[in-house]
Amino acid sequence: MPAKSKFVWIFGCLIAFFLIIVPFVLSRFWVGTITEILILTLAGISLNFLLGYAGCLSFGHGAFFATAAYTTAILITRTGLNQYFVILLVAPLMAAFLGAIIGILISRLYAFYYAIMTVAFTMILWSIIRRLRDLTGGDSGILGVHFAGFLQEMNNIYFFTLAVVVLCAIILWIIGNSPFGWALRAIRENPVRSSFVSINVVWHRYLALVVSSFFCGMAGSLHVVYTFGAFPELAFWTKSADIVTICILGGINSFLGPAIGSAVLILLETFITSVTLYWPLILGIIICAVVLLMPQGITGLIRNVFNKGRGEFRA
Amino acid sequence: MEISLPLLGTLVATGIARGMIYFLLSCGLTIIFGVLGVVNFAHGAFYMLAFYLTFTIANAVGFGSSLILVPVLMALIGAIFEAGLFRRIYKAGHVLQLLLSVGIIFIISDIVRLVWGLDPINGDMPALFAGRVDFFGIAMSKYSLFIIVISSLIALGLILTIYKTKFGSIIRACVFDEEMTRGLGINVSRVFLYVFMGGIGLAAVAAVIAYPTTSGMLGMDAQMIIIAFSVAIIGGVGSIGGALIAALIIGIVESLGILIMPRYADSFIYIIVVAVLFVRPQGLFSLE
Repeated sequence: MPAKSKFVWIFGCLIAFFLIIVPFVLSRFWVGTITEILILTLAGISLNFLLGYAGCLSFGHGAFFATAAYTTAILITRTGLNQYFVILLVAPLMAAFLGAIIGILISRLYAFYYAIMTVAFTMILWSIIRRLRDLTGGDSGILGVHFAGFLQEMNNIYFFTLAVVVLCAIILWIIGNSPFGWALRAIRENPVRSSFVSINVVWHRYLALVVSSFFCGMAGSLHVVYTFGAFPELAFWTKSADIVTICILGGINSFLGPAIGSAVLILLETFITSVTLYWPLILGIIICAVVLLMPQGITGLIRNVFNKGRGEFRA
Repeated sequence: MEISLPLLGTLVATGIARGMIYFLLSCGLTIIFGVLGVVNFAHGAFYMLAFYLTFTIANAVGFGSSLILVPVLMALIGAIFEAGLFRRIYKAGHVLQLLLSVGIIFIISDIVRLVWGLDPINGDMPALFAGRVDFFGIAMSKYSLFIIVISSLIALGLILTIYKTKFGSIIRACVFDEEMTRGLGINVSRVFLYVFMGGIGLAAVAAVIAYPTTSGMLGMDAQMIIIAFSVAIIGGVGSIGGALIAALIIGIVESLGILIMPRYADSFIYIIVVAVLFVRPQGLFSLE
């Protein structure tokens, strides 16, 4: 489809150009907002790796997000360790470790059972975080986490986030298009047949969860860099629901769907919370509308427009 | 603290009463899942809405009438949600079904915030049930006894409805083979509507019964949905008998947990859930 690929290239270049010049043309507030979009995008892409490729709906990605955020915050405030390269490796590894433990329990489960268990685990983590006041600061969380070095200024934080998110997205893209990624797609389409062609279904789904939790942890770590703190709400189920929402809103059949989803969601939130306090009500209505009216998400909608009249339908 | 036998008996009785509330709640969830094939994530939110409605109605016309009014009202609200939203996504995948119920949670809890505000509400114990009774040497509050009796009656009625009436056999036919049931000339959509209303009604009954014993606040929906799912996981999804036993286990464990380790009482439930999942992922009483 030449028209489509040309459109994608031009659009992609415009976005890239925009992302690079953001700190020089926009105010600090918008730089912060776009940083937030980037972080949520990474969380969304990591979930989409699991949801879009392997077909496992994790409703508890906030658990990995929060684990890495708290690991980052605790490492910086409690130990002298303040090297972001070390921390940005250790914290996602902690998240991946949690993913590895949870994965042992749930990799055999499908559909609803998988989703329910992941949401149960994130709520368990949430109540643990609130209980362990000495370590996590309880309900108020950990505040005033400051990285040493250049990660003090908003513009530097922005470029750092942008670099890490793009790098992680590229790595996930490569993994997703490796034989491993195609095996996951096969499992999503038909687990039984996949096992007939000697794909170890449970092991692949397990690995997909671990990989996904690592990159979601990376997003959680970046969130600490951006907000200077870690809060128990990150492990509450609403955070996980946000991550799922951006995936569906953007379209789970597209790799960069979550990026569009998170941009739309956060811009809407910024706009609507400035007008009314009842953002959750609006969010609920938006979610219902997306589910009923455009289940393929925004990218699916665009794709249908491109494919119209061509007699082909891509789900 | 010394643990005496009568104290233990009292705690177990309280636990059974709580467990019966959890049973009614998760029974609605389980029946909706079994028949409609939809996990209603918003079940806890419907419970919360029913709890706040009970607060208003009980203060206006008394607790006794709210016992009837709230479930009827909630069943009607459930009908609106089924006909307006859930009906459209039975054929869609589980991802969209779950996301839709998440949207409904946001809508309901924000409406509750809009109408009743942020402050927690406290239920009043009706004067009739204040005080304690001596039940074979075990001191238990009159209200716990009331909960156990009324919820046992409801559970009995439910089981009789499902296994002994024509409507019950239609429901079971829908679970077994929906298309075939439709082929026999039965209006399956309407059966689904009634089942959904019944499930939400059960959640509302649980909320009304729980109303005098606890206080309600925003966020209670998450707590209740976790318990309802725990019941479903321990008991095996779709099994009413399993749900009853699992709910009683959770109620009693919660009640005894307060005695042993008050700060970590609710963690025990999670430990049981994880243990069950590890040993028997399909649930303790599942037939598979």
